[in-house]
Amino acid sequence: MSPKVRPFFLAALAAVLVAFTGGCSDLPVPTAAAPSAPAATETADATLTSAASLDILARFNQKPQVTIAWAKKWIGPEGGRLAFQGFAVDVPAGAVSKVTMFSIRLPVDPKGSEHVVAEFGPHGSKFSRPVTISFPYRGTTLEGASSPTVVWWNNGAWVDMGGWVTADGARISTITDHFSEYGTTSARGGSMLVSGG
Amino acid sequence: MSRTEATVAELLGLIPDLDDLEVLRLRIVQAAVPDPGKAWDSSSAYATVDKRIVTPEAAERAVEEAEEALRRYVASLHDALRPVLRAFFQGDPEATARHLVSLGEHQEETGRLISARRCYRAALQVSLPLPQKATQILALRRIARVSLTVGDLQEAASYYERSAQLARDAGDLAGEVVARTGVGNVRMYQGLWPKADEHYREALLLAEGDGNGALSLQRAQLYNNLANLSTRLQRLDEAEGWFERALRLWHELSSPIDLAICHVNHAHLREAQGRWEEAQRMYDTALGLDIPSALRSPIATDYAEWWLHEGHLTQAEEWGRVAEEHAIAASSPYTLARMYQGRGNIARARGDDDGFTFFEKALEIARDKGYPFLEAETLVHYALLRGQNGGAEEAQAYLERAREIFLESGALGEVERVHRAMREVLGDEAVRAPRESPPLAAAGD
Repeated sequence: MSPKVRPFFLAALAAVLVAFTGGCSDLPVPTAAAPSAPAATETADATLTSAASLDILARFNQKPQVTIAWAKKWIGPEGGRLAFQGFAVDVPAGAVSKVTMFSIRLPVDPKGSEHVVAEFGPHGSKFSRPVTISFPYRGTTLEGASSPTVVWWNNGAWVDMGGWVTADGARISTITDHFSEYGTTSARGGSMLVSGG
Repeated sequence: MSRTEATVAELLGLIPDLDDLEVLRLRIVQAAVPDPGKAWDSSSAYATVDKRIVTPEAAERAVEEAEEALRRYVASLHDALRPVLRAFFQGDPEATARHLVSLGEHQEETGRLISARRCYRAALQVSLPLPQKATQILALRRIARVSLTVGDLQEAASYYERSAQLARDAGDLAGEVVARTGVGNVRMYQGLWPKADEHYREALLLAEGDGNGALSLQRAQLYNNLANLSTRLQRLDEAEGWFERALRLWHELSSPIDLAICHVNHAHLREAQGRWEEAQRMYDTALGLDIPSALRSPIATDYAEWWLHEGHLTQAEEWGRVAEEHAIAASSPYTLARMYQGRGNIARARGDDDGFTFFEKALEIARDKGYPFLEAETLVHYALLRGQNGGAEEAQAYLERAREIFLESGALGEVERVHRAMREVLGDEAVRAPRESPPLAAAGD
């Protein structure tokens, strides 16, 4: 699916590049879906979102205690699943042609970790079949919002991907054919009030 | 055997289905309170009215209030009708048509939108043969305005276009600017934002071309609308610029309604920027202005959603009740239905069974009064609630009906929203919607 909808936030020219840590190439060791080592000392990624740009994103009602920033898993052409802290990626069979390391990274800085946002890796990869990514919904400020949605960070703007709340109401999911930074927000526009006419 | 209470369904079934008793029906619905003795049964779509009760005292009060409201309305209606007849017998068709327009405006103010449109059509008929075109231009525009409010979007666009063309031919610059603004407003509701942009800018060019400043009001309204449009297109810096220009003019002009609209739309911009505290101040400012209940109600609904976003459900409910109070005071079924839609969302967030009741009320009004657009919007919200409560089949039916209505009205942006809701309800097997059109959170009056 090509996310070509609206830019959410033409924001933040001066980036405060602290929201996430680590980079895809820094994770060479295959692991299981279980969390790996903390990544707090790794290098900041130049594509990461600014602190200011996070304001639009949903927040956790209770800030999670994230001491481990990321998880990773090798997934091959047969497909598989990686889940971490309420975030998940479901890879269908045939999405990748060879064994590929998938990762989910969360912000560890105090401001970033308040928000429902994650970087899915391998960053910039394109898939032959769309994969499903999921985010915490229950226990976030998104719960009960009239138009919950998933957004991805595209060169200085949050872009709406659409999304659906899972049947158990625990998560919000969407499908994508590429990886980047993703978050959740509400596309609420308020009452349509126009002047004149 | 005497009774100490009755369900809303029983009372509504008892009251004959006469238009004159519509006010009473609304009062009865308002007087109803949840019956704590009964639990919600999700198996029946219409069972919720059986879960709300009215006492004999409350029913008596509702009758008195409805009678008084109707008495006031009938008196003012006949007051407005007399000049029509006088002008007719004086052989002044221009004045006759003008007074018919005024009669329609009176109907519109009391929320009787379909009746208002009939008055405007009558005015149009009288004005058609007249050499002076001002009243015809106005009547066309008024038909368009009502059509927009009730959700007949194609008709609204068509009448605004006719009005604009006639105004241009008659050299009526102000008339043309207002009508072109109206076309832009219709396009907003349709989700055709580039078209709205085009019409607003065209109107602005005309208005700014008027060197004597007589069209300041129209310019300020256009700045409002362009700011709103820019926010919805996420062109947030541009929106800031339009709001600055609008607010500069609103400080010179006196139009509390337009100023309130400006503040609320500005609040939407602040929300899009994540500046929630500033948005709150703007809602407070808008609500502090001298505005009619018909506008106060949707603002209160938005403010309730602001509180919902902040996680303060009690305040959200309080503002929901304010919205309800003003919707009823406005005697506007449309505003009332919009408000119920908002309260349905709050109840949904709480996991409260009242959500079913509120959505049912909104749907009932929308269907009875002929607001298809509102009906479709409500169906989308209601479907989400149904879906969350295991009613995937009902939810799917609601969404399909909503999609049908939106397609009929040309609201392509809303169709996208329906597809999104379908994904929510149907999960991984969701409909794959085309994503060419931008989503529109459009609603209401």
